[in-house]
Amino acid sequence: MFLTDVTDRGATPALMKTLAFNEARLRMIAENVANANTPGYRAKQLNVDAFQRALGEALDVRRRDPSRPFVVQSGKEVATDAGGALRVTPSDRPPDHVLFHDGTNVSIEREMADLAQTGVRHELATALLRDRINGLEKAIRGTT
Amino acid sequence: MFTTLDISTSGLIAQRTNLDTIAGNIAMQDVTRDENGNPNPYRRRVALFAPGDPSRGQNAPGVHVAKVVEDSTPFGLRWEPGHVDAIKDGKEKGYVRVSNVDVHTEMVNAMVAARAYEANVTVAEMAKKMAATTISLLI
Repeated sequence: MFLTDVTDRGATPALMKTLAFNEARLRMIAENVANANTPGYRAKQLNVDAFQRALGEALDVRRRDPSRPFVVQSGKEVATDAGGALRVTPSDRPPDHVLFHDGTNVSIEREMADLAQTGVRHELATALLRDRINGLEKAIRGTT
Repeated sequence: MFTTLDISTSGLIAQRTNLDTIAGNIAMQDVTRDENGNPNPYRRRVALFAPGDPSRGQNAPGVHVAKVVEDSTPFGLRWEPGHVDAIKDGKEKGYVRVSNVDVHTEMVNAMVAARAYEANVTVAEMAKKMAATTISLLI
């Protein structure tokens, strides 16, 4: 109970959700890249802005009433299940203006850019999380 | 994390199968007879991709080569009356029926396959890097 109290405070749950979201996004990118030459395949997408907005809202709710569970919910793509775990379901990217001759709308350039972005975001989230863990460790040891 | 690696691996396998097919096409572009010795040139083959990875279960994400089909484009004709397999009579007398492989198309497809292979490797590298960063939280 005490431990969940400590790990569930401040930005830690938001960082954990970010890690889970990034992992799901990486999986989605892998699927899009693997299917870049599959005829008729429709690329999948995840709305990062919507996820971050939902994360902000969840943090606001938590700030007002710390006893409320940390629930991130954004449309059909992102949901939090009863156990508090993040469920991410990518949606089909609508065929914008260009379809390739084999009927797919995977743009390898876009996937590579998203890949780099996911990597950087993941790095950032882990760095922040490591900071929080280090802080906890210092508090436990009572050293500086 | 590990699913991501599996997905990228399925992409690598599919692209390699694709490249194998292309290599076969290029190697056999000049074949004018079938394995029984009849004047029946080589037909170009194409690897057909489909989403999903049946080797890892029914709804596993990824990609696989659904089947390798033969290209139904008609064979070409090359004027070579001295050739053993030249057509002996009729309108096309003196011509040799040649395979429907076009080397230029195959070379372009080979480049596309190589690039797609690289893209899958890049994603796998990133998956590895991200997993390593996450694991480093424990140390």
